[in-house]
Amino acid sequence: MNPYDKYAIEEAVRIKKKFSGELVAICMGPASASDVLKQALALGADDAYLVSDKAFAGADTYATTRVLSETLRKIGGIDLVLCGKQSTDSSTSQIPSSVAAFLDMSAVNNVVSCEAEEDRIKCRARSEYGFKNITVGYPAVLSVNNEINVPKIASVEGLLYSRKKAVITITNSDLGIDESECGLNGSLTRVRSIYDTTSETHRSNIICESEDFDRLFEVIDSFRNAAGEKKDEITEYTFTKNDNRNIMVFLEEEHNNHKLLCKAISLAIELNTNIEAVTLCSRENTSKYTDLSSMGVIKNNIFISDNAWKITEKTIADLMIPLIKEKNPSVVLFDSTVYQRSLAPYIAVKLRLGLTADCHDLQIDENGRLLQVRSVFEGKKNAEIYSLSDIQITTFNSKIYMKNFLVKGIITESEVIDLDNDNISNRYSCEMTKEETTNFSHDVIIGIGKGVGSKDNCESIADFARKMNYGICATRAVVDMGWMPYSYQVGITGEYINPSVYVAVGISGAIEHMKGCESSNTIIGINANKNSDISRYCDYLFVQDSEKFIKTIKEM
Amino acid sequence: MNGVNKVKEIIEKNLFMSLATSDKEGNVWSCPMTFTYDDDYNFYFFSLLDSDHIQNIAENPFVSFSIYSTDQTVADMDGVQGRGVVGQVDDDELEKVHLLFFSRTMPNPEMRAKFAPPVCLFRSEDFPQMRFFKMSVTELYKKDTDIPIHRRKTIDINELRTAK
Repeated sequence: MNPYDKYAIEEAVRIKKKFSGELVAICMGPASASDVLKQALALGADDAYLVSDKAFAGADTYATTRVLSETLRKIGGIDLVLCGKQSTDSSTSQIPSSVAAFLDMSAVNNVVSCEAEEDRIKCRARSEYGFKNITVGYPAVLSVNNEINVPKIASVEGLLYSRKKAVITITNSDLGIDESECGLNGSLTRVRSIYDTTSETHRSNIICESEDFDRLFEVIDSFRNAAGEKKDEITEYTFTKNDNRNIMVFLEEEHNNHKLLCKAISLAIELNTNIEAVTLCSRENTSKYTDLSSMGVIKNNIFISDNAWKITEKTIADLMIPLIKEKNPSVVLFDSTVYQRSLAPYIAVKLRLGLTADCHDLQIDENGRLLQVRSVFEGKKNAEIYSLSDIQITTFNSKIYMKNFLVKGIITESEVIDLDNDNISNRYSCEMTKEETTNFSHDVIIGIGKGVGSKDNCESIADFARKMNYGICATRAVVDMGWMPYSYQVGITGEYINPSVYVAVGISGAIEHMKGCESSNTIIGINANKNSDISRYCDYLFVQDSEKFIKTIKEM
Repeated sequence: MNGVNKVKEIIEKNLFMSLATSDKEGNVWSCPMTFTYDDDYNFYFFSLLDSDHIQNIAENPFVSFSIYSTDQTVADMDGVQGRGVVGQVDDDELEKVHLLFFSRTMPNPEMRAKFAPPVCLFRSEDFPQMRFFKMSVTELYKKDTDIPIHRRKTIDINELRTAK
């Protein structure tokens, strides 16, 4: 079972107990997926449905969403749908928002706690910069993350129930979806290729055995000083206005949109086109977005509100959809922020567009189509995907994009649309609490892995980092153990960082984590095993036990 | 004494069992466990959710166990062994199991009041999470003391439950 789904089931069981409702578990997959549904029955589901048919084979997110949505319709009477935050294979988090769009339900993603009432559900959801308290009515779709509860292990009574209770199979003949709209035929994206990710180790791979930690700090300082002030090379480019189909970019206030716009510029250069933006911002910040000429934006549609942070994804999607239909861009580009990872799937379903989420690279192929590259199978492979839809839509992880542009030759034309005039911002109950976001801007960051052995050791390293003005981050394993908060997680299911020097302590080198830090200028590893995976990613590997490192820093 | 009475005696006399678990791939693990039991000879113990044996049980609830005294002589040696299925105790049974467990392992009420972890700790979501587990016995055996070679004999669980 997908670990995130266990959190969803646990929360569902709690809500069911509160209201004496009925809980059904649904899984789309081959016959072997029955095992997962048996687990769901053991954990508290009353019924379990396996949605399985040869016709569904090869389904992308859109086709999968269609099948799941039709299944929910068939079962009927659904007030609340709970999903795990993401799957373990593609980790795109698209399904919850997509299903909500299909069935015209409210959606809240990344829920960390919720309180169900008779006619509504109050959710606390993690946003990019803190938390949002959102109340929505039923029916609703929630995706939950691993902060929401501690899942139970099946009881003996649950195990006995699961042995007796049959899993109900639903096939396409039950759903009645035309076969031309099922599986691969019904998919709006195609995978061009999947290939192994090999670590392009332009790294020195110097092994330091029997070296003490004085040498470590010499290495850190030398590379830190050499990197100095990061001077990003800026490429100047002159755009001219033309009538080719634009690239449309969504800009989210409080997010650093610079890198996303730079990526849009690089695509616009290749496609010989212009950039049009859709911006959501608070009224007081309008002037920051009216002139984006140097970022190549020829037109900016600025939605403003006194309470911009209250505008839900569904609201902005309903505003963007007619705009996209009118402007007919060739590409609609979003960033991989929490907000936009919910927004893009909603738009994609409503407009029937093939969405590829969380791309780390976007290229233009020989046919002028957008080739979208993303990690799959927990980072072990890359997939090259393209949309079959005329308008290509994608979310791009701009944090790792390194190029900088300065555009000349165009002037931004801005149109400001006041959402408060239509009372849009007051339609949904939403409060936001900002929390101090984890600072990954340090030039030296220490990464803490499970090899450090304990929460106490994590705290020792954190104390040392604070003293030295280094940053810290953690692997997913450390976060899952409860040793450090989720906000410190780096990797494909966390943040991406690129400090001057990254020091990996007790980190094995699993690709899911290394994807998040491989852009660092210099990587130094501390690991007792010189043959561990981390050695491939390092410029320097100190073959030492983490305990010895921790002892050394405590004495400093 | 017939087998059932001897099994009762062994279970009653001992506070620890050896619990064997395995994950789905068949990687095995064994650990000593303080236990208690109810009138139906369901066994209860508590552990941390992130412990190896509980992680195994989460994947594979089928376990085996043995209970024996280490202060017996080789000549008199006897013990109980068996198989069971383990699950987490539901919240609505927690108080009952908590009392059952600590009444047996800390029979002195003053000691219990002072040292037994409170019930709320067994529902707390703060790390590390401790939980109670129930083992429902599916097979039960004891050493067959009627024959000179070391074999076991099956004990009828229902007989165990109803015997006085």
